[in-house]
Amino acid sequence: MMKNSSQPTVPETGGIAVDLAAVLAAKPAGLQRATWMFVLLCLLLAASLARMELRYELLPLAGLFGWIQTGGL
Amino acid sequence: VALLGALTPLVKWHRKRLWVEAVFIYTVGGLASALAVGWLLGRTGTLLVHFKSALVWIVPLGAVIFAAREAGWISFPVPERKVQTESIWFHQFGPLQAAAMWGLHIGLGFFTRVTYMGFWVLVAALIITGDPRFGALVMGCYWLGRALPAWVAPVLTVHDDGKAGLRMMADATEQRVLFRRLHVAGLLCSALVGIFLALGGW
Repeated sequence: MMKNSSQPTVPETGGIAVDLAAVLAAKPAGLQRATWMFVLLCLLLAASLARMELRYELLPLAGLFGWIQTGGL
Repeated sequence: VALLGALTPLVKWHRKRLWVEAVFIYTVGGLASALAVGWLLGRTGTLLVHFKSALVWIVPLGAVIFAAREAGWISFPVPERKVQTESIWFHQFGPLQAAAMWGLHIGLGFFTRVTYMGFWVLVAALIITGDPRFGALVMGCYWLGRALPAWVAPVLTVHDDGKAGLRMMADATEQRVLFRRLHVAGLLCSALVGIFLALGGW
């Protein structure tokens, strides 16, 4: 497995909230930071869509699922 | 990943315009497939309208079961074609036509490997919703999320060795724990939405 030595490592021991805090503190580059930014974007979209029909919550979830599907390869 | 590995190096080879065209065609091709699949799923749901009251709990129940599977608590096989799209198309047809074919193929969803069970939750939700236009909208969003890595790959993989796809795969492998947790979190979120929808009516 190739490793990019320029990326700061982030501990993988905590839950999601702990990881998020660690990621924001470490300011890593690459896929990890992009993923968290996308998660935050989806959460913001979900929050804004909550005022409309509840089923619209599926839209940002679907976008997130798509990202996870590709990133999870 | 085949597309990322094949097309992202075009940026480094000073063929940025070709890369933009290829990724754009890939996105549009996949969007066409995804919209069609979403519409068909919603249309299928209109045929099951009499069973809707019995089916509404499938989404939250399925999402929780899949979350347990992703967390490693339970194990069971899921239906999927364990193949990726054909990377050889790049050499056979060139970057633009291959990108279109990749988009059309991957955008269908069912015909390539499904690494994330949230896809099946979306499929179930769209069938239960029974609204073709909403189905197309949701699958369109799914596809845009899925195509986004192709757009940001050059930013994420700034290397001079022309191995952007391999780097991306290595990064994804390194982040396996992160994606596994996101798998679980996303499925639990969809379970929550499914519960509210089941209680409030789809």
